[in-house]
Amino acid sequence: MRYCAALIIVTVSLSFTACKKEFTGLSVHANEIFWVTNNGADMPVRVMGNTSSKVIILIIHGGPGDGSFDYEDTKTERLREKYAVAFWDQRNSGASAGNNNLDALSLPQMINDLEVVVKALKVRYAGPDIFLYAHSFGGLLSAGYLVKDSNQSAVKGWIDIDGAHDYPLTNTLSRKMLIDTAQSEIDKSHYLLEWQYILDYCNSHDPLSSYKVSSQVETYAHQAEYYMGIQQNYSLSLAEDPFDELANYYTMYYSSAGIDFLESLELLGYSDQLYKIKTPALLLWGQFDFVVPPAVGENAMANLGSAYKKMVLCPHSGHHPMETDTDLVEDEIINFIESFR
Amino acid sequence: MKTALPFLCLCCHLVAHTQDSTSKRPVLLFAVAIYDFAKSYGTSAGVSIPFHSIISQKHHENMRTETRKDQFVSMEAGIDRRPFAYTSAYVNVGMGIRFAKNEKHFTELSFEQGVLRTFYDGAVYEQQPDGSIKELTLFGRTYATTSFSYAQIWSISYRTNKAWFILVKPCIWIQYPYNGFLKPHLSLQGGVSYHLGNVIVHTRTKYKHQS
Repeated sequence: MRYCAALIIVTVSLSFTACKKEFTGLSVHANEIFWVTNNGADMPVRVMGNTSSKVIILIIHGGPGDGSFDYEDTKTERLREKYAVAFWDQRNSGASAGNNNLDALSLPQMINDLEVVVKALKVRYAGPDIFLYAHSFGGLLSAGYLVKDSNQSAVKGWIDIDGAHDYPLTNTLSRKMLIDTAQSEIDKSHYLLEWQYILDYCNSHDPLSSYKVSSQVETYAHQAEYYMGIQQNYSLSLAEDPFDELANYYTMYYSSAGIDFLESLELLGYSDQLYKIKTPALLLWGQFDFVVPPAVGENAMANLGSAYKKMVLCPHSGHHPMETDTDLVEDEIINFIESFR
Repeated sequence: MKTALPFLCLCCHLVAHTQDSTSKRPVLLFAVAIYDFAKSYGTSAGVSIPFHSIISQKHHENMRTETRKDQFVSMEAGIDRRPFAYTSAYVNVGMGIRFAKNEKHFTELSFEQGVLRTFYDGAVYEQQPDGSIKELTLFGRTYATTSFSYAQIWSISYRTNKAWFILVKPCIWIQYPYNGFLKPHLSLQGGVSYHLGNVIVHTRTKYKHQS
């Protein structure tokens, strides 16, 4: 009995020795986590890299619902050597947690979450230079953040990578790019049947008519990258806990609240408000992105109020230029940050 | 028709009857290490107390085999650590059935219901009504849990009173409400169990004779 009691005490005590990742100051090799809790959602922010640079690149991931873990690999390796990169999981995404919070799932709420995350970074790291690194849906979220109130004064720059700052425009241009490309590829007898199928569907369906159609057009847009010979990344990136990802993905794409949220996004766009943004902007776009076509980036360039705005086309890329033109993307980001930090 | 079923039974040469009695069954303490897929680990300890026992005896020619099913209630408390996420503490209560064909090996099937509290790693920040950012201490969430497990347990004592056992227990459990839904878990537990003492339980013995 003595031994049994001792064994229980030892095993319980051992588990309490697990260390908490407290903030211990700035570091060139930081790897720490903090959380932001806001209106029912607890969102992790993993900070990796060189916090002593006093520059933080805040990842605003796509999806919605994808999680930021997917950016913790080679896509940001060089960035993490020079600067700190903050991997924020948006509400109901990645490893974000909470109880019954689906009623708060909306773009305005996510914009408010981003406001709190930026404030928390400012407090925790004593006023670092923050650059937003937005991809895909993150382009809509970050545009909504930047045009609101005086939010843009809290950040030094906007890095928009294939960002969908206007969903109706994105859907329209995606369909147009698919139709135009399908016709030229059919003429070349390249993936003839596949392109003909896409052409027939896009000619007879308007993605603005319903969420179902826009989802189907997006599926074809991803397939089109493959038909155009764009390298596809089939490696499976798992979050720290894949079950978090699984639960959040299900909620986002299969619950009625999640689908309502996705449908609400179909109507949202900030093209007519981009003039409010004076923050320096770097737009990086995959030349063969059918999901958020380069023409969406050109629309942003035409409407942004920033004195400095630059758009770079990545020649080997589709929707994920950080994967397929990694060096080019990182070089452009580093030059941009060095100019405006 | 009235005679058809008894006749079929007679063809099988089976006679079954039951007898109620009491017997002494062990109370078990257990302590386990837990690996929760993926990357979480922890430990828990608890007790299981039998309250009812069913013994099935089969007589077949010159052989007799006995299978014992002990129904038990259990309670456990534990902590779980998920690096770069949170530490959680939980308490579960449950019921189960222990199947034993001999004293050296038995299996357990159990169902548990519990409460889990998380404590997030690192600082937790919250915006205050005045727009300022405040750091919260020991912040986390409370969830309900439901688990199903199947344990294999072997005696490691050589004395006549089998006091020490090792156990391996795969477990499926869910945590809810998690972002308006539920979060599934898959864990593997391994540890030791100790025969603390005996309690007197109501026992029903079923005899089956086959010739």
